This record gives sequence, structure tokens and C-alpha cells, in this order.
Amino acid sequence: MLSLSRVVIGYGQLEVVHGVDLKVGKGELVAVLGPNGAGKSTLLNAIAGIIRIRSGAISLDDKSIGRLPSHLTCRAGVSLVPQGRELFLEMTVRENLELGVPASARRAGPERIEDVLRLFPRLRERIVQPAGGLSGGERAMLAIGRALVAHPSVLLLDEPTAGLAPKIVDHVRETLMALKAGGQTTILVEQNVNMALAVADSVYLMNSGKIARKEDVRESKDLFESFIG
Amino acid sequence: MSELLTLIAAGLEVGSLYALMALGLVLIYRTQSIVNFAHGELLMAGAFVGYVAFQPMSWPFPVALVLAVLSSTLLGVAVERVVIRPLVNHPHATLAMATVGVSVAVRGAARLPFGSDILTFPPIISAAPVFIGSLVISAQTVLTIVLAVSISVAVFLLIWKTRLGREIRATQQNYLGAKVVGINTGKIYSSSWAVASAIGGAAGVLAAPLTLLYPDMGATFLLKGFAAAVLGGFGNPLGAIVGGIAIGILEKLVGAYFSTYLIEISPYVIIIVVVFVRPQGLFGRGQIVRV
Amino acid sequence: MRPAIVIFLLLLLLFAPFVLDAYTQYLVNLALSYSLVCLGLNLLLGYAGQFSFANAAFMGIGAYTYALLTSRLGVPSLVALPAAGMAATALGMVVAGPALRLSTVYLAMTSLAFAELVQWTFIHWSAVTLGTDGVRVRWPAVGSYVAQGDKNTFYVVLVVVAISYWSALRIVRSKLGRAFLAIRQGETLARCSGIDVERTKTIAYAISAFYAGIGGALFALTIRFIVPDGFGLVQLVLQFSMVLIGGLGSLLGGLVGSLLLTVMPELLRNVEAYQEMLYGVLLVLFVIFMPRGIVGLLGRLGLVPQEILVRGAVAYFDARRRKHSGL
Repeated sequence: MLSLSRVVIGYGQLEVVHGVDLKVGKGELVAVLGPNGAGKSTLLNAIAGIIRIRSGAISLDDKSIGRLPSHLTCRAGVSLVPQGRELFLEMTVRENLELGVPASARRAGPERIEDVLRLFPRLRERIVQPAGGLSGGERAMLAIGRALVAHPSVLLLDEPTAGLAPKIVDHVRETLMALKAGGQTTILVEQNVNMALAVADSVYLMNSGKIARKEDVRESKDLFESFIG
Repeated sequence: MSELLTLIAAGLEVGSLYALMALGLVLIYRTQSIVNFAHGELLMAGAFVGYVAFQPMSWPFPVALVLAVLSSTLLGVAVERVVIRPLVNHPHATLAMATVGVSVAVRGAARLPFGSDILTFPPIISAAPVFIGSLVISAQTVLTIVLAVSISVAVFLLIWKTRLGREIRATQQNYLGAKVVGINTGKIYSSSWAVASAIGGAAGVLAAPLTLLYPDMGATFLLKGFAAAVLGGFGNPLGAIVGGIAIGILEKLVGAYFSTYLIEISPYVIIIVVVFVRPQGLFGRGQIVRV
Repeated sequence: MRPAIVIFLLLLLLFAPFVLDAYTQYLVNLALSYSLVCLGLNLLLGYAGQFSFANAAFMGIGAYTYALLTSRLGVPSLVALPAAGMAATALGMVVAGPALRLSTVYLAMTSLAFAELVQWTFIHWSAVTLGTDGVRVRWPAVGSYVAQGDKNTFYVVLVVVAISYWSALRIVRSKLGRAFLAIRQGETLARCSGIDVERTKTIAYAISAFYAGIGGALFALTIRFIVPDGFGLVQLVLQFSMVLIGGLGSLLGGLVGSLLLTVMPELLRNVEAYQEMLYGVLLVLFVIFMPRGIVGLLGRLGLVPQEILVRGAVAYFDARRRKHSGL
């Protein structure tokens, strides 16, 4: 489905990701864990086409997407929920969701938005309010919802639960489980080990811009905890 | 009383042009955080193309208007692609400096065929003046105001009612967010410049009969446009329009009741006073002051 | 550069009037005057990072103060020259007030409005400035000696420029100069390192205006006839081009830029259209491709000692990630 091979990414003089290989099968939920500054977010941004890769290849269903600009990777079926959420704060919740719908699927828009509202009923209550007035949890839901209305082949989640109350973390986790059950292919970058282990099929450990190891989730949990510290 | 009304009508005429100028400036500023010092030259280019089509070629005015708008648009998009795009992540000052360079270069280019002479642009229509009570308004004034209002309305519809407009607003509000939802931000940059330049070109043709044509004509309009935009709270399109009209009317009143010398400095005084007294402008909540 | 080399070059310059024809001499004087105006702009823009459009106005105030004092009141040149600098400084302090709290964009617009206001005053306050008729300027006099002709004026200009550059070099190498650089790198950081940002910026404006004012005075006594039109937007673009092409954040850069852009237009035979296109296009090209200017390039090629580039003076216009804010 999605595969990265020997991907190198850098900013200016600085190389941040040094040759990462990663594979995600269809319907799989893969978590990437690692400490701050490991290059996880950079990796997701590169898959989404927001940062250019230096070398290596990224392919989605055997189509190379590594050199595409973000609007074309988006069209190819990659949707990112960025760490900062990056909502359109002066627009209403509905407008934010509408912007997530690709131009090619405009007719299906209302139906897809309805699906998201069923998934996150809280958003329905806030549908006519500007996104700037939402709480942290609601913003996270809106950001995920905005990515989902695109019906992405691959969903990229960059620390969706960072800074959220435990109750909302649970809600997000349940949502991810439901999405996985529905066959959604996902890459989840997390610092919350418990959350990642609860939902992921397999886990990549990343440190200093490299994949340290790939683990099956059934393996011992202690291992991760010792790794993350 | 009727003298006052006549002055206000004249103020509306020039003011609507300042409003168009300010609208373009604000559009580019909101999209790319660029203060476009070359905006006056987009107006000047439109005015000259319109002049050539309308006067030596004697083509009908609508044709001249369309040609002017098209050429300004092309020029604006070219500036964005060639000069602005490579500098897109650079500090504001770099971008402003680049547009200053463009401004002077375009002015020089206009001097090649037209020299530094002042050309006159005949009135667009020679219809009988319009009577409103005791008030007499020339058909030219009416047409200018009507066209300026139509253009503004069209721009507002574009921004608020179309998909492109929504994408432009999205990019203005959150650049990374726009990229994430698959908006082609490069296209949005070009579109913003295209729209802003088109407005500038139209304003140029409308301004030409009023102010005469010369390669430096853009500078005056640029400063008035700045003043209008600052007054309206830089970044607020509606504020830009209200600001433009207010400055137009104020200028005429000052000219009639005080001194015509003061007309020239009114925009500078307004910019300075607004920045000191109410930096957020009449409608703005923009980030004028450093945090 | 080593002092020995500087002194050697200065000595060489002393003989310039013996080899140059009168017109070339005039151009050299003009370029040297401009180099002081650029020195002012460079200190403010290249060192303190303040994007102000008021420099042409500072220059104009200096030029007019000098011209009016000497021509209309008969004040000696040696008094009028510092007076020109002081007048510009006073104005610089006025501009510094609002500039302290304005963001880049507003600073640019407000200072432009201010510059236009100053020019308007030159035109319309004709009782004092003689308006658009312009002011004729006499040859400079030192005591009973009158520096008649461009060749003699050259020595006056040279001495003033040499002293100015020497003092500017002292400033940028002092604690104050490092404070300027710190503010350019980031005000918050500067504040955290104990720099009084407001005070330092005000000083930057004052010093910058002083040099521009002195430069304006030299400009007036070199071209010997000034009109209000000379201090508007086009003048400003010329100065920006000179500083940027020479090298922003390098004292030598202003000198190089002034020389180049004073001589080059002559090759275009003073056709205004070509000159404007040249300034504009060069400005754009340098902003995009060579933001450190010629001196920056020479420095990278090792042709100019790095110390001339002033440690830490990486160009203000270097690519830096800028957050795209919603507004």
C-alpha cells in the first residue's frame, strides 16, 4: 500500500531523517513512536508532500508520490492531521469540513460531512461556530474530521491526542479503533505509548532520524517504555 | 448645500478609485503578507493600455477596459511568479524591497514609449449630466462610481461565494492548513495577484480621465491606497473600501475649504495620524504593533 | 583591512584630482557623498534591521539645512555641516518614536508617508526653502580659503567621508554595534540578553539620520543646486539599490554600491527610463540572487577579509523561514 524506502529529509544544512524504510499494508494501523526531535513529524510532513524529500522514494499503491507537491499527494489519497491542527479559525466548523472535501467529490460532500458528524457528535453542536472558538478536544476532532471527509487512502495522524484531557484521549482512541475496523489505513505518530499500543497493528520505533526497530505490538510493552523513557 | 453635495459626489468619484486601489493591496497583503509597493504601477499599466486602445486606436471603451484589465492581470501574475514566488519565505522587508524594485523598473519601462509627458485621457462618455434635485453630476462621475461599485461587488462575491474565494480565504487564514487540505497554494498566490492586479488595471482606466496619464501616476494612488487601507484597518477588505471613500471625500472638502495644497499631503497625514491614534484602523483588529 | 592598507589607499586618493578630469572628479565627489547617505541607511537597515523609508528625507533635511544655512544666512561651511547632521538627527529621533512600536509593514508605510511629507514641505514652504525654484549652493569655505571647483571640493568631501567611516567603524565594533546586530536577529532575544531595545533603536535612528544628513550636506555642496524633487521615492530606491548591491550589513558595501550606481547611470547617458529600469531590475536581482551584495560575494570568495563583513552581520535578507500568519 504505502511504502517508504531510504527516505532522507533535511532542512537547509541539517539532515533530519536519514534513510527511513517503512511499509504500511492496506487497512493497517501503524504507529511510529519516538522521543521529541526523532524526526517523526518531519516524516509525516514529507509523506504529505509539505516537505520535499532529499532522496529515496515514497510510493502509494505502486504510484510514486515522493516528489509531488502537497495538493497532488492530497489528490493521490494522503490526508494529514498536523500536530498544530492548522484549522481555519475564522471559518465555521462546517466550512472547515467542506474545505476538506476534494473538488472532485464535491457532490458527495454533505454525505461525508454527515458521516463525520456522526463520528464526532460534539462537532454537530458547534457546526455554525467559528473554529477559533472550539476547545482543544473539539479542535482535534475537527482536524481529524477535516482529513476524513477526503476519504483518504492513507490517514496520517501527528500526535492527535497531545495536550488533550484523558477522557477525550479515550474518545479519539475509540474513534481510531472504529476507523481501523472500517478498513482505514493509518499512520499514527504518538508519544502516548499506551494509546499507540492499544490501537496499532505494528509499531516503528524512531530515534535520531532513523527507524530503530519494528515491533509487533504483541511483544512486550516494557520494551517500548524503556525506549521512550 | 448643493456645493457641499457636489463636493461629496466628486469625493465619491476619486474615493471609489482609492477604494479599488486599497482593495487590491489588502487582498495581496492578506494572502502573502506582502505590502505591494508596485501596485501603483499595475494601475499605471492599465491606464496606459486603456489609453492606447481608447485614444490612438479609437476602440470602444469596453474593449479598452477589458484590455487594460487583462494586461494588468498578466503583469501582476508575472511579477508574482518571477519575483515574489522565489522569495516567498523571506522576511517582509525583503519582499517589500523586491516590489519597490519592480515599481521603479515598470515606471522606467513605461517612460520608454510614453516619455515623461503628461497625456490626457478624454471622458469616457459624453452623455448629458445627471440632475439630482439641484445637484448636477457629470455622466463621467456617475459611470466611474457605478463601475467601481460593480467591481467591488464582483470581488466580494468572488471572495465570499466561490470555491476559489473560499480557498483564498483558507490560505490567508492558515497556510499550512490550506496545504493539508490539498489547496494548491501556488495557484492561490497567483490568483490573488491576478484579482488584485485586475482591480488595479480597471482602477487605472477609470482614473485616467480624472488625473491625466504619466508614468509616475501610480505613486500618488499607491499612497492614497495605503492611507485608505490603513484607515480601514490593513487587512480588512470592507474597511479598505470605506477608507478609500472617506479619504476621497475628505480630500475634496479639504481642497475646497482650506487649500488645494493640502490635498497632496492628506494621505500622508492620515497614515501618520491613524498609526499614532488608532493603529488598528476603523474596522481592523490587525497586528499592526509588534507583539 | 589593515590600517596600513587604508592609509595607503587614502594617500592614493589624495592624488586623484591630478589624474581625473573635472567631470569624473564631480562623479567621484557625488559617489562619496552618496556613500555617507548609504552609511546611514546601512546602519539602520543592515545592522539594526529597521526597514524604514525615511532615509531620503534625512538626506533631504541635511542637504536643505546645509544649503539654506550657507546660501541664505552666510553660515560658514564648517558650522553648517554638523548642523545639517544635527537637523537630520532631530528628525530621526522624531521618526524613531512611532517606529519603536510598529511592525515592519506599518513602519515601511509610515516612514514613506513621512518622507513624502518632508518633500511636500520643501516644495510648499517656499518662504524658507525657495520651493521648486531650488537653492543654489556655494563652494565650501574653510576659514578664508574657498574650495573652488570640484577638485578642491574633493578634499573637503574626502576628509568628511574618512572621518565618518572611521567613526562608523568604531560604532559597529563597539558594544552598541553588537546591540544593533542583536536587535536585528530578534528583539525578544536581544531583550533577554539585557539590551534596552527601545533605547538602542532610538540611537540607531539618530546615528543613521546623522550620517544621512551629513551625506545630504555633501551632496548639496557637490551638485551645488538642490530641488525638492531630488529626495523622493526614486532617491530612496537608488539608496536601497546602492546598499543592497554593495552589501547590506557591510560598511564597505555602501561605498562599493555608491561608486557603482553613480558611475553606471553615466554609461546610460542619463536616460531616466533606462536608469530607473536598471535600478529596479538590479534591486530585484540582488534581492533574489545575491542578498549579501558584491562585498558579501567577495568575502565568500576570500577576496575581502571576513572582518570587513563585520562578524555576525549575516545579511538581513537571507532566507529565513517565516511563519505564514493568517493575517
